[in-house]
Amino acid sequence: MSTQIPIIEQDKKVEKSGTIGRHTLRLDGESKVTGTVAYTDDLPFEGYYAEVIRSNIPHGEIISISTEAAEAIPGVVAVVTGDDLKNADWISPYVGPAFRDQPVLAIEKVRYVGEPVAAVIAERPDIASLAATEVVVECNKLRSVTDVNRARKKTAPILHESGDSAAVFEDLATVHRSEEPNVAYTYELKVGDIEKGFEDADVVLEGEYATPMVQHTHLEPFVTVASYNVSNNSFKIITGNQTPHFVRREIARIFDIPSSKVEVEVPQMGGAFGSRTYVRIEPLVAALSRVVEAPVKLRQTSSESFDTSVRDGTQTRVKTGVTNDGDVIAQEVEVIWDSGAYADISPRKVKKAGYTAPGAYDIPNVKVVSKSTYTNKPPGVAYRGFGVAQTAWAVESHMDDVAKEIGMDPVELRIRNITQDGGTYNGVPIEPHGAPQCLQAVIDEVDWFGSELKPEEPKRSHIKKGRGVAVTLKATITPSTSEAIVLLDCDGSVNVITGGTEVGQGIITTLAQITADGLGIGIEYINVNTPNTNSAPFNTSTTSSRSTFHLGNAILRAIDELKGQLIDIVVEKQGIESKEVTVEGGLVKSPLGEESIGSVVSSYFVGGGGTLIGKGYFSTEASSGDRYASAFWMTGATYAEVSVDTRTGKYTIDKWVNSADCGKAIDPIRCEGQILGAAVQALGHTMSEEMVFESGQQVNKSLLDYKVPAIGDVPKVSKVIVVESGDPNGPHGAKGVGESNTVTVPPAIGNAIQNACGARVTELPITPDKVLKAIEEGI
Amino acid sequence: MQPFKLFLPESFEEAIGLMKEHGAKPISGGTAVTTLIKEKIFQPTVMVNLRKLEKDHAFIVEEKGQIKIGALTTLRAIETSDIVRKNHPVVSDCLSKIASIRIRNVATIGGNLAHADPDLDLPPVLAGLDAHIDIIGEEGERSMDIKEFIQGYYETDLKEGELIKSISIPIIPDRKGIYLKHRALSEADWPCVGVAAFIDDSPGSVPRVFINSVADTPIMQVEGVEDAFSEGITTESIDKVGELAANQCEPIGDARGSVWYKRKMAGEFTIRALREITGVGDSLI
Repeated sequence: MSTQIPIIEQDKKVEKSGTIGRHTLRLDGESKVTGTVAYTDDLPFEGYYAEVIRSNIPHGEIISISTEAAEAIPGVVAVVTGDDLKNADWISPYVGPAFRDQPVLAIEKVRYVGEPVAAVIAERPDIASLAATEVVVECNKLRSVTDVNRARKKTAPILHESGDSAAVFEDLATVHRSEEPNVAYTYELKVGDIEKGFEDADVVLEGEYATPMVQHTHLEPFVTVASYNVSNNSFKIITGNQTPHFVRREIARIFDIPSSKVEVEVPQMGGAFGSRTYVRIEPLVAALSRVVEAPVKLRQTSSESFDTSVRDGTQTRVKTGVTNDGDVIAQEVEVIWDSGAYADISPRKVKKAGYTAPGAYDIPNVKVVSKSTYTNKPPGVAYRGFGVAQTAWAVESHMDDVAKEIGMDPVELRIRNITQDGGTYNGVPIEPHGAPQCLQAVIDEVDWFGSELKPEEPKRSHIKKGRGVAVTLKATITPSTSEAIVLLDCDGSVNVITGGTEVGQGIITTLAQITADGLGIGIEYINVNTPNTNSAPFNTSTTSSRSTFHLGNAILRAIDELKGQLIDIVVEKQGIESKEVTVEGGLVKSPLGEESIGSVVSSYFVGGGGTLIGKGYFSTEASSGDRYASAFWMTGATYAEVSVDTRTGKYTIDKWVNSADCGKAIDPIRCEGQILGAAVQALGHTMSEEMVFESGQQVNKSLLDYKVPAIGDVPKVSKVIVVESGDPNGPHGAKGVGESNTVTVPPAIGNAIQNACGARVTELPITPDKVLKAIEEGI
Repeated sequence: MQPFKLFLPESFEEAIGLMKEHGAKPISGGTAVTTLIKEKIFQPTVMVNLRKLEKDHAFIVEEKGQIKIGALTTLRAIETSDIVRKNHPVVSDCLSKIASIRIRNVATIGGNLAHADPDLDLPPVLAGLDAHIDIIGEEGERSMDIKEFIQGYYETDLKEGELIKSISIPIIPDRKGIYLKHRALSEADWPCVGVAAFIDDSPGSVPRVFINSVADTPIMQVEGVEDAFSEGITTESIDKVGELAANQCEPIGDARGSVWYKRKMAGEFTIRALREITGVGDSLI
């Protein structure tokens, strides 16, 4: 390997380029690597500090909360309990994007260990922290349930008696609570005739697979500042959140004030991965600020993140009917989600991930049952991969089991059944998605059919080698809306204002590139905001890898509008036909000459300046009939090659290849970063990550014991392939690329381990302990 | 975190006086104690920071047939020391496997050993080298074998007001050792099991095996090795010692492995370590 680092030379050429398809230095890069970027907690703050008191039992009725001792501590301003909020006439204290089942502070009951029960507000963080230890919560313990199968029995303790539909989102407008005990929502899909499919199959195979709850482990913990302004009954909220417009709407609703009275500002975020979606700690901090009529800051620790939001665990049963030739003709998938104590976005998750539970395959007869289950654990929320990582762990492991059963190469089985670009999926036509190209890319890279792994020499026969593959198809949030405002100043520079948030994915730079290209100006003339809902137009969310596609399209429309205005000005000024005028390369060109866009603006306004405003709206359509809509499809594949030490169960990944389809790379290096970042995050889910519960208590609730991958765990031989299939609706053909490989990495590694030594571990994470046990038990 | 008063003494005497006066605990690198404070397991009101003692007590010297290491020496300094590498490469190798360079740059050997976490990597290695811990207190100085120094779960022989002053490792040119660290979850993690094995290059020398993470101390010495090897060192007798190790340990099951698995690994890595240092049987690493 060359010791030269070519990146500087290369970057010099492209610096400030903004050209579509070429690497552009991140506009926020320098501030991040030099540590000067300001996250929420770094912003200047004057006000009070809050500390949360949490439940230490998994399920119970609150009898009393003694606050006197805490209130007596000098510097303590107030102690707020669920009762205070329940009895207040200024707040509706329940929140949730699907069902309003989650209290801002526990009301009457606690439903998981770590649930916020009360909050102390004090002049200093250490006083708040000290006072929090003086708050005594007395509870009547109730029977608790932490297992999804026990939770659904008639005899199980019931977590929620009722739950109102929030009816905020179109796709969730009709969801209602299931009749089954502790089931928040059931999604069912039936395609073709499943029974007949199994009858016609030569081989029917069944398997069960599971994933544990895991946590997002974003490095920046949850921090929110809320300032209630008593004089006009308004709030300003500064928070690390991926959905500022939802926060605005939800805060406005619970306090019954107009949305325009809620200003939500989102600075840069230190990672999110779905954790900071909808509302987290914002309603609580707003309520605390309302109580003391002053600014309040709550900054949680990393350990408290485990109490706040997690990824659902799953138990999945897959039954597949296949012909001897390898045609998968029937598949039944039952996914039971461990969604914790509150539904949050689970109904959408079980629906969307349920729809793609049969993987990337075109199967004529399909049955899916997908159930979100309440348990006495922290709430399951959105997580990079949005449920598909859990269902694919089952189905992509199962595909290898099926291949083994009928004696077929697992990649051949996949190629034979994969849904084609422009083909059908779940019985209906599907838009182009790129799944076959992603699979092809990894098998070409490693010459799957033309090469074999070289076994270890006989002296080292305890090391077995194997290889495996997995592929995915995932939807994005649909319908949804993104809007953009492009402000062109008379000096020719541009401000881009959207509700898109920078979670570390690089959206600021991507949007600047699209704008620079659209107007034909240098990226150095462009500033992209981090959102403030007082000025930023609506954006559904920065989730589901939707930003480049949706915000990019909105910006292109805004630029079109802006260009139209520039042309109109020149047409009026020069008395010519508009078809004779074009805007390119930062210039407005007409037969009478050319003028820079800035000077066109300058000439139009008087009084020392002026701003031309272009705006663009972009919305996608909801599903109708049998047609399941996704604005675009995310696809990707992983190849993994492993060595398994059969005496210890420990495995190393000797080589891995990750591909994902980004439609068109606006910046190939950032696409690679997203693909590899997703893969490494999934490496944690594969090797080590698991929230371990004992009697409802998480016993590894800290980064000391909850292990995420370290740099030494990342495979040294790693190849990333950016597939560009060209999305018909994407800006320049681009679409989202941030999630596919969180889905494909675990099953690819699991399949490689099985290929190496025959051991099939069915439950993530694949620890050496489990591998050795599977080897010894001959599973 | 609750605020606490931090003293910065410049000598051991001053530090001991302050600890005694305030009933305070010492802090040096702080890599272990600050996590305990952040997790609210330990909530001090006063602490005595030994950082300024670095001036006189961060050193590695070769004297009187031993390597003497000042208590305030960082793990990284020991890892990269020529004196240590030349005489006991097993120590350098062991240190290179602890946490990350950032941690090793600040963690000190005194703090590391006084912490007495059963998962510590270094103690089984130092035990195999018959290292001594030099202790300073009000009453004066004393020295004891590391095997006696570490007494149990986070427990040492240090009395109230005593501090580790230095560590002395005898230079034994014909002693050969190896430390095998088995990590189950991540390369930057504590051991699932760590095995240190030593043998002297002299006729009739019997190997010794020390294991961490499988008992209430980081130094579980496998017993009965001499008997097992009475007929000579063969792959069969090495397997026998592996079995002894597996049977003698008392692990706690956790995310890094179940009791079943840790026992098995204590045996397996004992076999691997013994094969390496004796040259008997094929290498398994």
